Amino acid sequence: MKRVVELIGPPLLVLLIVVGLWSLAVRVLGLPAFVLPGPARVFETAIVESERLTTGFRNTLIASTVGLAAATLVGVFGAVILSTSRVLERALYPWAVVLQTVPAVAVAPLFVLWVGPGLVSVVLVAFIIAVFPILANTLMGLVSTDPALIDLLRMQGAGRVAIFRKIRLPNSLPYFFTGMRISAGLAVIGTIVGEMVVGRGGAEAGLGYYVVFSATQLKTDFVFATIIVSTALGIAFFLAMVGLSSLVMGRWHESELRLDR
Amino acid sequence: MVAASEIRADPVRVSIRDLEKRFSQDVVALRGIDLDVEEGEFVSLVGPSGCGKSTLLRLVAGLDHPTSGKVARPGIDDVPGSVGFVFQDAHLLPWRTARRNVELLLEIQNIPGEERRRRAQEALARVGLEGFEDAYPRQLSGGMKMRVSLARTLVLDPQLFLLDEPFGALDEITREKLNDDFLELTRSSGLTTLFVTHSVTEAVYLSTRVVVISDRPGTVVDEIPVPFTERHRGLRNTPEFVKTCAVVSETLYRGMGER
Amino acid sequence: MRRPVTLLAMLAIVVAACGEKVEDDTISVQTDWFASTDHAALYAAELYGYFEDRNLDVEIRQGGPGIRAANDVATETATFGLALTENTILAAAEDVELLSVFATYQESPIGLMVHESSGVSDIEGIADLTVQIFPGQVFWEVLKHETGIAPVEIAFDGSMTAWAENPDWAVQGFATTNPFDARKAGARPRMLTATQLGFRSYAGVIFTRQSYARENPQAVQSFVEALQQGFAEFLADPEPVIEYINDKVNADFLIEVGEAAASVMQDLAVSQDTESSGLGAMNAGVWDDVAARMFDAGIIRSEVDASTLWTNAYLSSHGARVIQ
Repeated sequence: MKRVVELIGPPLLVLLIVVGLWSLAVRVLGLPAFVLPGPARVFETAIVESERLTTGFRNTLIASTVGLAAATLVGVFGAVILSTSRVLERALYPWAVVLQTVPAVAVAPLFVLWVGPGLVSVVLVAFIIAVFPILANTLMGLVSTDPALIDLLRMQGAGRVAIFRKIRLPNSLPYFFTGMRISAGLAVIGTIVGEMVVGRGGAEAGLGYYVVFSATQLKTDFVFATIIVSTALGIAFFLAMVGLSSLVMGRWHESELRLDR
Repeated sequence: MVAASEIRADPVRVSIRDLEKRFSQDVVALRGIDLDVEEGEFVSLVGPSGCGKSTLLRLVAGLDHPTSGKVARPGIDDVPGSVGFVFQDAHLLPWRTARRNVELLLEIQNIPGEERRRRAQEALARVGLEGFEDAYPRQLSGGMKMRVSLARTLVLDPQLFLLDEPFGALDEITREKLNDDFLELTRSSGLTTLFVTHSVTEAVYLSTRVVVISDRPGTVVDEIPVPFTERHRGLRNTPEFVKTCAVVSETLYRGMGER
Repeated sequence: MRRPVTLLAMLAIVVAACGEKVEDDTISVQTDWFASTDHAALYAAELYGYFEDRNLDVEIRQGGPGIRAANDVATETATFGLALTENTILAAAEDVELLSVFATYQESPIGLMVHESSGVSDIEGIADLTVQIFPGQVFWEVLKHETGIAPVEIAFDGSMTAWAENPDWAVQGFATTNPFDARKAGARPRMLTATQLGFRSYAGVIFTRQSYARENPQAVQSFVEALQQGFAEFLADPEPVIEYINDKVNADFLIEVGEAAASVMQDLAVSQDTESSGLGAMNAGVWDDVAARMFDAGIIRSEVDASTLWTNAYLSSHGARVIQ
């Protein structure tokens, strides 16, 4: 419990200070609400628009989860394939880098053309943005193994599969989770970007759709509420990955040590 | 497994003939090496850094292949678990406990879990780590990690024990303590040992024979037999010990001058 | 991603934006999109020197995605803006007092473009289509609310490609330019403007802050006169203005698109009001209707008195005489 307070306390304090400053700034500067609405007004709008925000949260959550899951599957599978052969790695890795640099917003309209609008297109955008960190980090974890350990296993007649299972795979876990932590946030961002340009409206609208929706109607307070809910979702995704990683390897990985001292 | 009688029939465990190892046309690591290690011997390889002594050990282990010449391990070639190798650092898997680290190589040999567990526990007891079975590497000191590393190899009951500067990274006190414990282990189990070190004292203290390797390209400068039968802490201060060390050092310098 | 960072960044942007006020003697005009004939009144006045004739130093700024002219006028980064009737009402609901002084289009050319083959000609027909539209468009939200239709909707990405491939789709468009582009791309489009679908409002509406109009009545007067004069000139002879926009302002705006637009604009720019009060005129009926329907649809949360948001006071009725 004490550890939880130590962990959450400082950032929470910063949050309170920022909200306080925000509230003060609005009052002192006398800014019109549509330029910078105060926290109270944003909160009030969030209540009024709670139905849209709930719908948006749910749809964005679904799309982000599917996008991240797809990125994880393809990223890990891709990393395993690339780790099996230097030639494959050299042939394919540059293309993975290219994939990462493709502006997802720009190709989103093509997804609409190919797979139709809505969830699939949005998920594809999230996938494209989220897949690379998982692939790159997992690959690094798979290949950056202790060569002495590999020698040791080879001397006992271990084959590629045994070396993969005993050494490479567990060795890649911390790298994989580093990738997951980056990609979790990216999946949410990708989803929201996708929703902004190719997302569905109505009951299937996500938070990204409402970002544009509220901005079109000059409702800055609604824009703020949407951004805050989106950010909360991103943080939730990040924390889920942190929790998952310490659950899986909290006992041994160096980066987790600080927590149990 | 090879029957014990067969092994006894040929007392030579390692046989190296006219061995040469090149890394490229210009870089010759080892040249004209001839060396035999007999059963129960403790042979140390000493030489200046970069002389190729670690390379020689890797060739004996079969981790690398000679450019020309022969390396044979009569009677134990192709017998799984018959050769044990220990590196300079512990090289433990951080995600496994001490016991599970010791079990690693047994898993490769498909030894059932129950037996693996029992043998790992025994091996840890032999290196003095009883009670630390469930500790993770990060909870152990450098010396303790090295003991786990030794146990990981000992558990295989190897016929030939190859060690590449295993205590080089440890402090003096820990190192001497490990030297004694290690001697006890090899003596009690009659292990044949090939030991690479850059410490003359360590080599003389542990070995029955010290092989001095010259600067690159590595060749055998000389072999110095070690006369003592008893090892104890006070030995390092006796005149014979100091004299033997002086001979080894002398030979070492000769090897460095022969460039 | 972190909330405090986001907010601080926004605060910084806001503060920076507030600091960037326009110089007192320059009149800046922020349009809603890249330069086209939809901004013909502005560019014609610039081309023919009607601003200079009145000692006005006018700078026209092109809009684009993400540019919201009402925001810029409200934050005083622009003196005038060009948008729809709805934007002035939305701003009023956020306590931003704007004043609309000139309407380029008597009927907004904004609407939905469908395929001829779909046979759809009214809002009920739209119900069965997939509608590609910028999220939050007022005319569309009002029409949906009033008719109860709930077709599949997709956020519009600015590209007509997907629409062209799907005969059962409707896409947001401007009657002046998009049907021409679609036809050129091989589609057979049918444009249904917001007015045809049941929601009439003004477009290409020029507005400023109420406080600016109070403090600079002469400048507003002169500016609106120049617009009227320029727009009349354009309607009489569009070619020079189209060439000017294409040559000097926005090379992506093709001459042939401008010519197609100009032919449509002749009808959209005039009404009984412009006959009597001059080009750019508006009337209370449209403003009150739009405001009331926006309130009914829940787009604005408080009722807005539209009568304070517009005026024909700066118009000269002689602007009507050039209409053929």
